[in-house]
Amino acid sequence: MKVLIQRCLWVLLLGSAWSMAAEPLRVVTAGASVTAIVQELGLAEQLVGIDSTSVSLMAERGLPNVGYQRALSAEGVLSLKPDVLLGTQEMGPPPVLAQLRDAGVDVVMLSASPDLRTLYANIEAVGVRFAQVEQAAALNQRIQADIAALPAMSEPAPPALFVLTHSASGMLVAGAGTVGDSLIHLGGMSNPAADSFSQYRVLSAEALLGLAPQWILTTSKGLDMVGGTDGLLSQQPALAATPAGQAQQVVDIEDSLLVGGLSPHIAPALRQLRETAAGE
Amino acid sequence: MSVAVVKRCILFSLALLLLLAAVLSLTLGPVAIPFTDAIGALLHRVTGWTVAADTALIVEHIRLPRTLMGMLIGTTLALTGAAMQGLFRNPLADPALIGVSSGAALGAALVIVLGSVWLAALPAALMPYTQAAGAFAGALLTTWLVYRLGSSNQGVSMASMLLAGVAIAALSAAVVGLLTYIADDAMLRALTFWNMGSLGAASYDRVGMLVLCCGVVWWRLPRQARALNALLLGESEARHLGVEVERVKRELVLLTALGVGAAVAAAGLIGFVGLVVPHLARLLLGPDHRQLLPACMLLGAALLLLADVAARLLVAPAELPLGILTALLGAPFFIALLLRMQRRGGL
Repeated sequence: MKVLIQRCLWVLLLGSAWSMAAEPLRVVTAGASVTAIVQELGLAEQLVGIDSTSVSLMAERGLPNVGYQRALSAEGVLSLKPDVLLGTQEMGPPPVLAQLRDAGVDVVMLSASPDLRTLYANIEAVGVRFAQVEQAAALNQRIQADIAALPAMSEPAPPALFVLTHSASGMLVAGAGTVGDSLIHLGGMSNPAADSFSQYRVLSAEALLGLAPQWILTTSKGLDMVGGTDGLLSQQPALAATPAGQAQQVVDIEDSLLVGGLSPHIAPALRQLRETAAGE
Repeated sequence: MSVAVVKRCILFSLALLLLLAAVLSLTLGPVAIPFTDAIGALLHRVTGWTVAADTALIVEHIRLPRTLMGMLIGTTLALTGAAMQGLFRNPLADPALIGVSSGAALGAALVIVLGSVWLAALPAALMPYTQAAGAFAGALLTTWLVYRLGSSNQGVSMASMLLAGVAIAALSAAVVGLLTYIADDAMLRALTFWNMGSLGAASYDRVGMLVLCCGVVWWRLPRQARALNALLLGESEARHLGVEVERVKRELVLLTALGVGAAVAAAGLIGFVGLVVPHLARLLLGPDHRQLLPACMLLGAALLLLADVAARLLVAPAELPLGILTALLGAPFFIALLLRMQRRGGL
């Protein structure tokens, strides 16, 4: 009898576990960093749609692309029948988010502020939402350990600028409060632009020269488009005249690390940045 | 068949086209909903039919306000476009010419870029409406300015209004440029998307606002059809025919500012409808504004709805900006029309 009851309990337990596994949440993500968190927590199988900034992360899956994270379409997202829309403050527009909430989609909006504390909090929040608390804690520990193990940088920190080069009137330079600024600091460098402005600003060639960066950070796609470091420096004489340009010290950052706050993939990029800067 | 009967038939077919466009707009979208379910969801409050909750939600709260907004905006843009072409006796005239669109763009840009400082004291419930309010105020203010610059004690000169409109548009564009220079990344993106126009943010609030503003335009503007016909002969001829030319000009300019200002505030800049639709309608029905204006209303609404259906289906589940699509379809069409008219010696 006891055996029978035990067996029945086992069947019940397995059955409930089975039914939980049979209906995983359907998730749409907006913002590359959020998609990367989902990926790192082993939840990528639950994704049914991603935004255009996450496409490079999920290239082999061929998931439906709901467009740019700031220009989502209510019916477009709904057509994927998601349970959860996971994104950051950057996603929008607000009326569309309101329509999605009305339609019963759980719109989870994480902070996009570009600091490590927010990254850890976001990973924890995603872990709680998808019942992956332990995996989230493990991921946070791993990132913390990776960042603690980064090679030390020389003092004083060399000045660096993060520039986006696709503007005709000048170069967009990352000021305080941007992912670009955080990458510079975490990479062991200093950002002279952050003293004078926040967010991204168009800077004239001369202003850029005045900041005298020793390193230029830019996006991989942007650098590919102009034909690498040589192409960039020949197209932007002002950049070529900076200390960074003369020493050809240009580092590219993978584009998916820059959207929606800091990415969980940040540590390897920082390691590469520090090693390059240390001249290894 | 007499000419009047033919014209009535054409108007009737345009009404049918609008009906078809509205049905397509309600039944097609990235979420596949069978035709009968969509109609059921539309009528379930009246008839008591049962429909799935998510179907009812999509049709009632996403597609229906969107369709209504498309109809209201398409109608008003085409109607005011025809009025401007008649008033300026210029086939290239559209509401942008008297500064309405650029003023609206400037108003919205001011709110987007500087709003965080000025509007921080506003209650949070009003925040979603500030950009639209800025656009609307910008449209009315610039139109008023252009009108003042164009009028003297001899009355309103259409030529100086046109020049004032061009100047104000250039000035607005320059200020918007200045604002984009001091804007940060997020503001720049908001500005860009706003400039491209979309019906994606449709809601019953916005439909209500449009009904109020466009309703006035629909009620007043078609009453000026005879005056517009008389103006085709020239201003002094119209005056001899008993048209109060100054009053008509003032009313048409004000109605255009009201209608286009509301449309831009609700959906951003949607180009080419106001320019192309009146020409199409004139090809079908000839230049008599008594038939031309209703035809513009029907055709403008139908074409905007069809363009919007394409905007949401072509790259689903993402969405194309409607303003880009209308320009993309409208411009080549307009060039073809131009070439045809030239060959006929019509220009």
